[in-house]
Amino acid sequence: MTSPRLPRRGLLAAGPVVLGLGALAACTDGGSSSSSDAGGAQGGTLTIFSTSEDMSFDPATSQSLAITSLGLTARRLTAWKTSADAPTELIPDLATDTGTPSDDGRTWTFTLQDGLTFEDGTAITAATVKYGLERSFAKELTGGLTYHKVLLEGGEDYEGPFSGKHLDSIEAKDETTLVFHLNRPYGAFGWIASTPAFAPVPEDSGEPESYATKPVASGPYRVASYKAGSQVVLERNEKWDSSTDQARTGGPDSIEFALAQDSSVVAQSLIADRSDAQDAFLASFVPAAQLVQAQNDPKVGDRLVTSGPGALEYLAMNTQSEALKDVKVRTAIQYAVDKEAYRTAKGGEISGDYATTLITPGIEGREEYSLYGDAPAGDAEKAKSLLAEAGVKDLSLRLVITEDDTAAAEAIQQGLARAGITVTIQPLDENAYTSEVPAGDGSGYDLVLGSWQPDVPSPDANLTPLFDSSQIGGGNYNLARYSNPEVDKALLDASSTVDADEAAAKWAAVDKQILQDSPLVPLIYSKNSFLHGSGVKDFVIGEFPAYPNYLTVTLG
Amino acid sequence: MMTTSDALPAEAAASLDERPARRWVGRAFLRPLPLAAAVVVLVSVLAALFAPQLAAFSGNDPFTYHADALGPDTAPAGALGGVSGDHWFGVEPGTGRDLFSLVVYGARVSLLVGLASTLLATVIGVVLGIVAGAVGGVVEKLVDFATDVTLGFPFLIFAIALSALFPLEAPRALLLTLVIGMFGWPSIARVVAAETRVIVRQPYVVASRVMGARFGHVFRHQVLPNVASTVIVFSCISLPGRIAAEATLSFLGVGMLPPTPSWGRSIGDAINWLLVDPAFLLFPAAALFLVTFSFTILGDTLRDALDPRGGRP
Repeated sequence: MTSPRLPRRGLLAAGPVVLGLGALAACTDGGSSSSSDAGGAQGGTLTIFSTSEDMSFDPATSQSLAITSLGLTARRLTAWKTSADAPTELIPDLATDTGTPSDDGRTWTFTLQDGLTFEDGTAITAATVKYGLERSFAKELTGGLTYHKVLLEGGEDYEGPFSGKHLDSIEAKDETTLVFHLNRPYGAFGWIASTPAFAPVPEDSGEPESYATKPVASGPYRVASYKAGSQVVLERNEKWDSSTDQARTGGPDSIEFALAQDSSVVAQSLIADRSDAQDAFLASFVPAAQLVQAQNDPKVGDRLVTSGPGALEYLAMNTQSEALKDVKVRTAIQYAVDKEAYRTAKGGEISGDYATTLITPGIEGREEYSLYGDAPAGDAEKAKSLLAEAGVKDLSLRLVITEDDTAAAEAIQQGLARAGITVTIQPLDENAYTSEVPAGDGSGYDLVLGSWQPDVPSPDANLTPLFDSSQIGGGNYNLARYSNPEVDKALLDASSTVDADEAAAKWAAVDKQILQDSPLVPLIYSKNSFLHGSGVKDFVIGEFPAYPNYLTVTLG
Repeated sequence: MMTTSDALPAEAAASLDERPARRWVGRAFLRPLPLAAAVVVLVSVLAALFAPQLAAFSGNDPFTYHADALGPDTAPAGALGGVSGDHWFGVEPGTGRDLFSLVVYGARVSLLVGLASTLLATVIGVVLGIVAGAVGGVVEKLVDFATDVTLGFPFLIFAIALSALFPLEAPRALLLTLVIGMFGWPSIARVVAAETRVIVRQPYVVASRVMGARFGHVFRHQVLPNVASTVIVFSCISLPGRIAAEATLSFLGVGMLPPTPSWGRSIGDAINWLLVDPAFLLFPAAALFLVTFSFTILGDTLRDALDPRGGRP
């Protein structure tokens, strides 16, 4: 269901759509042989099955993780090195290092490698990175990640480069030196520089709207053809030089995104390892029924890859909806929800651990706590008495989901029914969901199922996108439409704290502070399961994020 | 339908002459297949009427999740989808809901929507058919045109679109009944119109018109009784198609909404689980098949019994 998509969004993809896309990745590109640390074989065509109908290769509108689809065509200042048994490392990508802070972390300097070029042979300069970042501020291009927008000085009033104005806090000192001036100290800016907006875009890149399907590639692949709803083909970018790139191996000669696929059907093909699915993987999670099948099928074996606990799956309560304004009612829902049924609908133990906090496991600053009881199945009696205290009778709520989330939604519906709350489920297709929920005015839903994978391994990426009042509507992910000036302040304070221990304590406190207001019910920390065909090698899910690294996949 | 009470003797006689004697109808159902079909239909109607009691008798309801009946991988624990003394048909994978209760409650939706939409289609079809056949001229052309349009209309696409527009909070069964009923009348209307055209030219109808009978009188006392058997047979034969139409829409996710149990939705869910838990598909699909098949048999039997031309060899 939706959840998978949303998390991806967070990291991987810009939108649900992107998710699918996001996954592409990696192989070494170029006719040249793979780079030094590229262990995998070269050649072949990798197919990535995506449930999305559309993908965006525009860094300004993408929320793609540094290791998924957009990373195939667009390099950023920094990149991630993932491995299955070690924490994910931040490594240089276009830059020569992961950034040098000065002025207590308010100023960050990056130096680009020499001799980098786009697919058309023009040089990748500091100015093209600056232009790419400026584009992400433009009103015409929404949906991208916003971490840098709230950090860069003057970012709040800047409206993009198309009107001829530039953002002075991004300074292109010379061809290869970039200096960023932040409005506050920020220790993790090196990670922020791995988000899509830090990809270079040439100034003469044509209409901003068409860039999503006709990007100018800096990575190992370029977009050869784009057919929305059907197929996107990437082929090698001969101008990419593997020796300058530590993050990508560029294995397959070409990569095909098969769009608008049915995940159940694809999962069946992958389980059976049919010939058309051997050099392929499914970008979205394995659906619950096929997950059972894959676990019980000896042919599948290690072709089913499950991540550690990653994204937070949650039930957001629209704090602006008439029915859910009262914190007592929202607290009652905390008790009414049946997390056990939800997890079962998601595939059981393999799909995640029960969640009680907002910061996800493995992220510095997380403190385990449980505000609303420990029973995964909830406490319907407690919920009833809270509702009675609040003087609410016959509560009827609308739960909006994407179409493939029905089973999970029914599990929520059933849990709430035990406390006398009626839930009407409204399934929407992905595009309708996006315009109604993240981009809507909030009038269309009371409850919504979501999932959030932090975009960088920092509590800031857990909490700010979901709870900061600036993230309500406009395609952003404060789906609870939660607005609390004190929380906004606490988030800002914690993210500006450079000392790690001090910051961790602040994050733990704000986590609890938010959940006391009950804007959402944490359901599970999802473990994502992915299936790939027998021809796919180096399919690795690191400790963070809970997605495979597309950039290093090869075909055996 | 009522031919005797207040009809003129001549008319009553006329229509009775054309119909087989009543005992034939009863006798037709005494053969094994129709008898079995009648039993299935009877059982399903009873199941639909007493679904809550039946489910409670098995100790379940179709809404409660039973996590304990599922294995760690969320497939039902035990053979045949977890069939046991507690769960007669096993449980639904991924939720642990009792499948027997789901099937029994599912009969309610199927039969309710099937019967109600058939009734609606029949009423519309008979009225339009008789009006077209009896009045003729422009009216007949109009009805013909409406019939063609409705027949040519892409039902499934329209129904899916309409489901999306219909408010979620409104009664879903009513929507399904309306949609399926509104699309079901053309075939009945055509047959009825054709029969009516013949009937209104019969001397006794002409005579009655000459004596000043109004349209309403002719409609009720002369035409309706004569098309009654055709209409009954036609409704019976089309009923299974309508039950299937409900199941189709629910299968596609635009029919009954969760948590209301529906065979079509269960079948749709079961497709995903087919290789892991075939029993989950078996029970709702068998219920749907048995009921539609039985109604078809009953319809055929009734036609054979009532239709003097299509008699059994």
